[in-house]
Amino acid sequence: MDIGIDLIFKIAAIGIVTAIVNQMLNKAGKEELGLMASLVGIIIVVLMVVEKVSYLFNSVKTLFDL
Amino acid sequence: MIYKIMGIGLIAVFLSLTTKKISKEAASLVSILAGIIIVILLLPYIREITENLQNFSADNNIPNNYIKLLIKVLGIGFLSEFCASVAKDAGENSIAQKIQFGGKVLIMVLAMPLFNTLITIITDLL
Repeated sequence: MDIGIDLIFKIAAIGIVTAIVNQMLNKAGKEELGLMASLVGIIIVVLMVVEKVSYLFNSVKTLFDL
Repeated sequence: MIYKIMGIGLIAVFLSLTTKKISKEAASLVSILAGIIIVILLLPYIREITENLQNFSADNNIPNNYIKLLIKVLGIGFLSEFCASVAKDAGENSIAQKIQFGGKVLIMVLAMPLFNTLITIITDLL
């Protein structure tokens, strides 16, 4: 499972890209579109994190037989 | 192994610092993910510990349900501490307190039968 470190970079990259897109859209005068873009970016990041969280919680559940 | 954990931790700290200026959510998500990945890397070692505990009880006939209870309490303690620290990182101290309170209550509930056996043993002695 050493794929994890790439995921951290991906998440940071997505966060930065969404912020840049947001700025560009704001400059272009479409504030609400920029808001939508940053929301989409955050949702993608949260989905990736939730996938890892579910993997962790399942393995902990089987490990400690909670 | 410790280098891997240290490496991931340091990289995550730097990344969350850089993204903190740009977007707060990405920074906190990076720190949450770093914690999760470090724990995922440690899972095989935790499995080893719990298996040793169980073999230990099987060898010199300590009743197994106490060891199982101990492992269960360990799991609850670990999970509640993990979520509480994540919540504290994100600045939500009250949620962190509630999570820890919930963990304590669940551990108390699990330990109840143990108290009963303890009390009965003591009253028998007197």
